[in-house]
Amino acid sequence: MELRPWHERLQEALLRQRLPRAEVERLAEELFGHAADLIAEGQSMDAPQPDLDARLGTPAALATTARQQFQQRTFAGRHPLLIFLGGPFVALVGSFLALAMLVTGVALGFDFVSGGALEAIDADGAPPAAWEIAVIHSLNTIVRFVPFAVSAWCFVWLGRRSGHATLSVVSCGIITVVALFFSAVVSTTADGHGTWILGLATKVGLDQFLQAIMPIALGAGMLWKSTLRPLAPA
Amino acid sequence: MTIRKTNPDYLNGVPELLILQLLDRQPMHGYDLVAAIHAASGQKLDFGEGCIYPVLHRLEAQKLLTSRRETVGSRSRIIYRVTKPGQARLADSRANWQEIVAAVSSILQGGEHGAPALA
Repeated sequence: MELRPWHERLQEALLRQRLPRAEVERLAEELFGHAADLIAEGQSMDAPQPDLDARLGTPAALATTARQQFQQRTFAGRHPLLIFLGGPFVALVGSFLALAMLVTGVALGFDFVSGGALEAIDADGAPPAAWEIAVIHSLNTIVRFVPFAVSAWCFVWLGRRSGHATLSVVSCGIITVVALFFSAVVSTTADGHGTWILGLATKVGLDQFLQAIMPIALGAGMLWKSTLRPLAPA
Repeated sequence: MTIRKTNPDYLNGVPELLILQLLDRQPMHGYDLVAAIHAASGQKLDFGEGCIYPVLHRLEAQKLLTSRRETVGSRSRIIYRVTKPGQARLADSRANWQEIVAAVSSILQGGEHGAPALA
């Protein structure tokens, strides 16, 4: 009995489920071996050739089961709506808080090591020096881009790992929308002092589009891989 | 009665229990495992045999099983074994299953509240 056509149908069905390549190859190998065993068993018993679809399951049914079992492996796979729809908000708040704590920690550490250098800078009430303004602008750039990029990357990674690539695109979409309305502006006043304002923008400008580039790019990449990319044999 | 179903819903709970139980007795590859399920159930459990592999892979990803490639005869096989967490899960699943069986049996045999009252 020729096994190759059944094996090819199986591989095609598994690939259509967008499972990771390693998982497709391993499943196809084990199922091919199982089918070969069934045929050998039939030959040794002088029985008619087995109906592989009836014994093993049709390739489509096997691929569906494979995808469901793959999704059951992780918490994100078992609770996709909670993770991919609610998770972006938690991730963004968490990443902003983590960043704030990191910056505060570094500043406090620097102050401690330098014997109160930062405290002395603030004490005289003089306008900030050029280097201080540069530090604030650098922090502002980090706050504008890093939380969105890191959060989007996390959901793309989770999407791949849990077999919910399409939902991870939705997560990237949510992060993109928040990025489009997030505003972080550093401005200097006439007396040389400055203000750093973080909040929600009332209108979307070029700055906001730039902030959204990374989540858009990651989401688009995931969309391409999960639904648009042509299928290639394993 | 023969229970025949390739529906993935069928693969929730019971196959996991059977797989852990049989592999706890003896490490096996997929084909032997399917044969063992058929034999141990007296051919009562008849399912799409291929569905066993995605379940095995999930259990391995959840660290309930380990696998190792071995050459058996002239063929390379993937042999599965139950891990310590797998044995703990097996004990839990077995206890749950026995509770369910006891509860259903109690109802079927018309326990204290099992018989419907007629007006």
